[in-house]
Amino acid sequence: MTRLARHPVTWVFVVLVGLTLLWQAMGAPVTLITEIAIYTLYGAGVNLLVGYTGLVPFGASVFFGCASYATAIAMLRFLDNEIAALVFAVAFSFLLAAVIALIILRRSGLYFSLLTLAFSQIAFEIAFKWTALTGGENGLQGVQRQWLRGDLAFHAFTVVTVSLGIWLLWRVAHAPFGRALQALRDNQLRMASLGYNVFALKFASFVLMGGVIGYAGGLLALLLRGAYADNLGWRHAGDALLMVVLGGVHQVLGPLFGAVAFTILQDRLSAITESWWLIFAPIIILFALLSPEGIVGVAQRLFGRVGWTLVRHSIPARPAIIPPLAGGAIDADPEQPILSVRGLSKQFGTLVTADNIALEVYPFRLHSLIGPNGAGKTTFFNMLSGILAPNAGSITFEERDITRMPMHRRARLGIGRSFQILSVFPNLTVFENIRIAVQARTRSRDFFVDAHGDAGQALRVWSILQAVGLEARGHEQCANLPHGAKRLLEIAITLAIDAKILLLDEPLAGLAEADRQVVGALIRKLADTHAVLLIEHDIDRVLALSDRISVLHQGRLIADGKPEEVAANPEVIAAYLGTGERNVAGIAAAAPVGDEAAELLRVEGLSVGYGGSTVLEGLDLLVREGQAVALLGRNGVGKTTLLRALTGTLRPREGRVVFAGQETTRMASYQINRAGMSLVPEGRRLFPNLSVVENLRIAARPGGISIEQAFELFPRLRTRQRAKAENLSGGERQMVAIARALMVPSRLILLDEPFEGLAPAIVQEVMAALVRLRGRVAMVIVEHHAEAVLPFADHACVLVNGQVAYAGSAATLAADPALQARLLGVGQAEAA
Amino acid sequence: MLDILLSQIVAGLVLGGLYVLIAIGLSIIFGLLGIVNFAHGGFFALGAYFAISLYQLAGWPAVILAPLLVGVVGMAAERLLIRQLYDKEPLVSLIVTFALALMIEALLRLAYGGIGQPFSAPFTGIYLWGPVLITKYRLFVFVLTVVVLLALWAFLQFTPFGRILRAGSRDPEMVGLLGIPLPRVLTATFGLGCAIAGIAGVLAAPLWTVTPAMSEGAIMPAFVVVTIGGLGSFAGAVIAGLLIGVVSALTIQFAPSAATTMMYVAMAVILLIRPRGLLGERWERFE
Amino acid sequence: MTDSRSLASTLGRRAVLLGAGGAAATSLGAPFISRAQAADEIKIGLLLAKTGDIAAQTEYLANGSMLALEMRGNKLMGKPASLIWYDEPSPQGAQQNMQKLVQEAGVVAVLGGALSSSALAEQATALRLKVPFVIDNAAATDITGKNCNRYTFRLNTPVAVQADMFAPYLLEKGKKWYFLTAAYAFGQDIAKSFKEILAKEGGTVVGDDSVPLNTPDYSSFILKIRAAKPDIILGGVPAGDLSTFLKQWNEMGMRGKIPICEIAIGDTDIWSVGPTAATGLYTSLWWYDNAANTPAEKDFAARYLKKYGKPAADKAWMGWLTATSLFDAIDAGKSTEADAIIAGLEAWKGGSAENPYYYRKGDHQLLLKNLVVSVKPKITDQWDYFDVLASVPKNAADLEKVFGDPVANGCKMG
Repeated sequence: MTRLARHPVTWVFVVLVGLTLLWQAMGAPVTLITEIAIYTLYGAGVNLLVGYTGLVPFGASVFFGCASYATAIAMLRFLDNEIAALVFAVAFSFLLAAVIALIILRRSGLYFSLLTLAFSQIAFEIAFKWTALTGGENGLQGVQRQWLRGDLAFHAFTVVTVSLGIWLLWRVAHAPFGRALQALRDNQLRMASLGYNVFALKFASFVLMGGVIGYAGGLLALLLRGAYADNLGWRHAGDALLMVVLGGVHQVLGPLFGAVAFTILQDRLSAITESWWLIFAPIIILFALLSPEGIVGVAQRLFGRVGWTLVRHSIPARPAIIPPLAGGAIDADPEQPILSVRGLSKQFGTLVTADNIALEVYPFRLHSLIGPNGAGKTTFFNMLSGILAPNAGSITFEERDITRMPMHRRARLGIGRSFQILSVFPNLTVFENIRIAVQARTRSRDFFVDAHGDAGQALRVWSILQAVGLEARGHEQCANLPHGAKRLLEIAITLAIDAKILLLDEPLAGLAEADRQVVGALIRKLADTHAVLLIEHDIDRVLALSDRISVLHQGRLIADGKPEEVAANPEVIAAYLGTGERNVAGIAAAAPVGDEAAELLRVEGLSVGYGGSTVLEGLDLLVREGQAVALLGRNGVGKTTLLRALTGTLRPREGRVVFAGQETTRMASYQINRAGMSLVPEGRRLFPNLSVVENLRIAARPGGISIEQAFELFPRLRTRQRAKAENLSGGERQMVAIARALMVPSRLILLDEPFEGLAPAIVQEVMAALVRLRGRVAMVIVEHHAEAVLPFADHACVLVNGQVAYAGSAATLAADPALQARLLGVGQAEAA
Repeated sequence: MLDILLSQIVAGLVLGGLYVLIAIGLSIIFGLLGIVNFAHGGFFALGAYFAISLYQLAGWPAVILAPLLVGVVGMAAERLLIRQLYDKEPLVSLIVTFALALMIEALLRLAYGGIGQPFSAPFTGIYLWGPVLITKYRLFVFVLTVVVLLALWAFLQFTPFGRILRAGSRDPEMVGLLGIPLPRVLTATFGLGCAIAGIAGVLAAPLWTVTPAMSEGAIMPAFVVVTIGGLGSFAGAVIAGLLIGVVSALTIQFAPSAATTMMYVAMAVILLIRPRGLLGERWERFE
Repeated sequence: MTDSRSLASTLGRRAVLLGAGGAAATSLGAPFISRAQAADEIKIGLLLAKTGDIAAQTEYLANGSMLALEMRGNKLMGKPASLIWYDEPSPQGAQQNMQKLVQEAGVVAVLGGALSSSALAEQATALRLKVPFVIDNAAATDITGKNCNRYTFRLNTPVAVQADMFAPYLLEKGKKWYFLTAAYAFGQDIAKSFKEILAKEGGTVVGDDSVPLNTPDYSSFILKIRAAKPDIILGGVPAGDLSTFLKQWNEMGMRGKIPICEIAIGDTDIWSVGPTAATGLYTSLWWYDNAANTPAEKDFAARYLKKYGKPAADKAWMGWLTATSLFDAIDAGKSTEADAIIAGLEAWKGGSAENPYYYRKGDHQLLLKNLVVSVKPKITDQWDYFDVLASVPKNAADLEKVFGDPVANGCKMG
């Protein structure tokens, strides 16, 4: 009973019938309610794209209007009953949608929205001019309904079939197809990497939308007993979209309430004023801005429930006993490489990120790929998985050339990957995140069966969840998980597609030690039955786990062999570990700035996070005038987040920041910069379309260094001053970024991984510049390699788990390898 | 035949110039603010209406103030409304600016009535150069269009504000991190875009029919021009605008009733061949 | 800015309308109240667009109708009477609103129908609801042609008839015609009608351009016209587009060089072109400064000028005349029953002996002489744009012939 009461179709039916009775009681024409019913279905069709698939068609009216004409023309010329005409309208819309989809679906975002609008306009122009067929301006009249003659009979038919239509869409939303659409909305790239054909899914949802809207358009023609062009014009093109937004985009009942509110308001407002848009537009604007989930959102707030209602919230029950994840070995010859790469090269402009790489990956082995940041590891993975096309070279998988194969087909062949930057489905439940990956294996095309009804599939999902320790959180929404849990989920998704070879991109980054052990063991186990290619920074663990290690440096493969061989390779030591080379003459000579200097920056109890997760909690930090502070910590502990909070691009939840005597906690980033804090951001963030000089000039303010001084600091820039930033090398970019930060009068410079991806010679040059600045301006240097900055810093600060675990003299930390090892985590317990 | 074709191309260039003026503001606003401004046509219409009102109040010289007034209205709109959209998803900005467009139209209708406002060019007459015919006023419009575009280009290229605009179109947050008061830049930019649309409105007032619905005749071509040229590209908008103008003029010569449809067909075709428009670059922000 | 509406006058006009009894009927959920309260009041529906380009004209239509009721002291059959104005935002909305007027507000008859598309839709609804419907503005031939029905009456003269009336004057100017007609029903209708006439008279079509609606720039068309050197331009573009065309025609120095001739252009259309650019030869149903106007019309024109501060445009007269004919019919039959009203309208006669007008029985089309007007060569007054050249056909007796046989026009009235 409650299930029936909660079913959205019940709601649609009850609301429509209720309105009908009310209108009948008032003696008002019931056709208005018929219209509401029709627009409800129209809106639901649009919402299939907006809410479920994540595409925004501004001109879905092209289907509504054209189907209207199709029905009217059919009835007037060759069909004598309305049911046949409706069938014709739907078939016609399917066809129209298929043709339009082929043309515009490859465009995304705004281009997609505007293109649908363009098609609506084209249809409008044609309908308006082709008087012989469409009646042009006058429209078509005289459609005679054969069976549903009276208003009430037609109304009843409409309400029932619209309810059925909503029921159908509700079924589809829960079917494997609909579930895949929702995953697509959240993360297209991930879907492709799981083996879903993104285009085919979008195509099917677009065509389905066309059919649903086509049916609504057909009903409209029957209601009006004619067809008119004005529904195609730009003024009405957005009607359904407005209704959906008014009702609530991520709500299954959004289109219903949107259509009710829109239609009745329009009806009543237009009776009392000729400028009804003057009243209606502010209403729309207020809803769009203040209640992103529309009317349903407001109602939810009243009843204290928040969230999306696109699908049922339930997930299949967790079995009492979850069987452990069983994985049979793949069928492969251990002596033959499963994946081989020859002469693979990739350039971005002048930047070479892959240079003639040759590599073979054998099954049943854990093969690791290491290299300093920026060595081109992720680019290499992107070429293997099909995100990037190489400039030269070939990739062979199981003796098939896959160099030009699209990503989803590679995934189907058995190439699975995880992503360095978290790539999950934030709006789905944890269970569904995994299930969608499991579903990819079966490649089910079902439109009607409940995807959660497949018990075998559900069991496998639970097994995978258990394998990564997430079985207790299956029902939670992914976005609300803490960072570590999301990382586990990321790996679990990759496991779930049961690939032959797993490309794992830093799966351990950001995990707590306990989780690292779990995941490490899991990867090891997988490597015994599958093939694994692993990118990882945790060198100790890599050395311990791997069967084979390849080392990438500046796009070149510099070593390939057993762990112990690689670890002893001098070139690897020089390039990767690189210690000892960064000592610059003069560092030791500079007098360290001690505790006697005045306070410059004080951070107290700072808590920051994204969405539902907390990254920093109760963090304290102190920087003194002229001090060089090394901010250390493993990947993903929140170093960059801290810088974002300090510079005002991320609002702290709690705590305060006092800089140069004023509180900057809530200041805009430009105000903070004007107070004297500059940032050299991660990835440099130069303006690619501006020249070097322009990049510098844009920041220039009196009190900062001059362009001439910038060139003195980095002589190399003088020769490149006219070059566009996008054509600079990595090192040059970093120099511009640092010089840019100095163009403003700074008292504190925050440098986020300043040496990332730089060749040793460039590192020297940058380091020399920093040394010259030392003492003149305070610096916070974010690094994950302690040895790179400790000799240079006065003070060190180590972040662990979003809090400061060490704050003290840099020299003390530098002299205590045991402490470093404990805090900066090359393997040892952070349990300490 | 060649005579009339030449004349048609000249006529197309003038029309295209107006399209460029309308579209360029849309493009600048999109580039920096990331907002597709459906209400842009409304600001174009405001330009025409302000020109008429100012002319009636104080004669021709006062008309120069019309674009400035439009700019001020634009800045007010940015502060009150558009600003709320920056951290919202694109769907919200589509809906809000669409509603704003219809609201501006309703306001104009309330203030001025729905009937067309009579307004004629300050001077008439034609020039004939061989086969090519152009009216004095159109020549004036074209010259002024070129001057405005050149001035705008120089402004973007050589002034600090222009530098900020170009930089901000790629990475607005970083602009703020360099100590540049981004909110004020955004307000000014929106005002600038609207003011340019206002100039187009003033120039078009003596040529087109001035009614509240004239925004419609501006916004759709502007969308087409911006999309064909490539979202956010200055040169793209110029090329696409002139192209659409000339294509329209030539279609009128050979298949007049298809003149408006051709524009959309051209857009679909060009986007098929070049997904980001003629000169559109890949901008991470908008992919 | 004397001709623009101020906010106050807009609100004032609304207040008049609402004061007339519409207020209660329009607020949310009001149908109950309105039905209960107004048992002894006679209500007439007004179905005219409140938004869109057409709103500039419907304002005059509505003003005219309201003035007609006012001129009778807001009474019909001795009882208080009121007009209730609903919007016709689209054919779809117009159908809804017509139904609401009848079923919810309880009107006994409806006036309106500004756009052909809406009027055709409303006409079918009128038949279903069995409510008398007098169309004041829409000119589509089909309204009193194949779509005609017993409940629908129409004032405006259909395109083909206007063409027949107008053609002799045009042929005097020459037989080389350039067609510039809008690429939709209205323009296509005009092109078809005039081409038939021209062919019959042995003239030549030197140019034939079908113009997209809302074309912003006519210079390319004007260049073609200039090259073709026609005797006249036969226009068929709607109001806003004509205004754009004339502005650019003038701007390209063509004003006065080739006559522009078009049917069914309203006074407001020409007023909005402005005195410097206005030019042309047009048909019109009525002109406020026509010496031949009847005393009642003169009275109406005077009152209109007094009340609204500007002369009654032809549209105002159209609103006034349809309302007057309906009110006369109700008063004459002393009944608000549909059949009585229809009988009253069929029997109604207006105008003078010289210029009579009446709805004929066969198709409920109003027969009346049209005016041929030309824009004064030099316009000095803000409103006084036209010289009336003639009233066609010359003899009232020819009206039936000019309007054609109802059955031949496709009208089968059940």
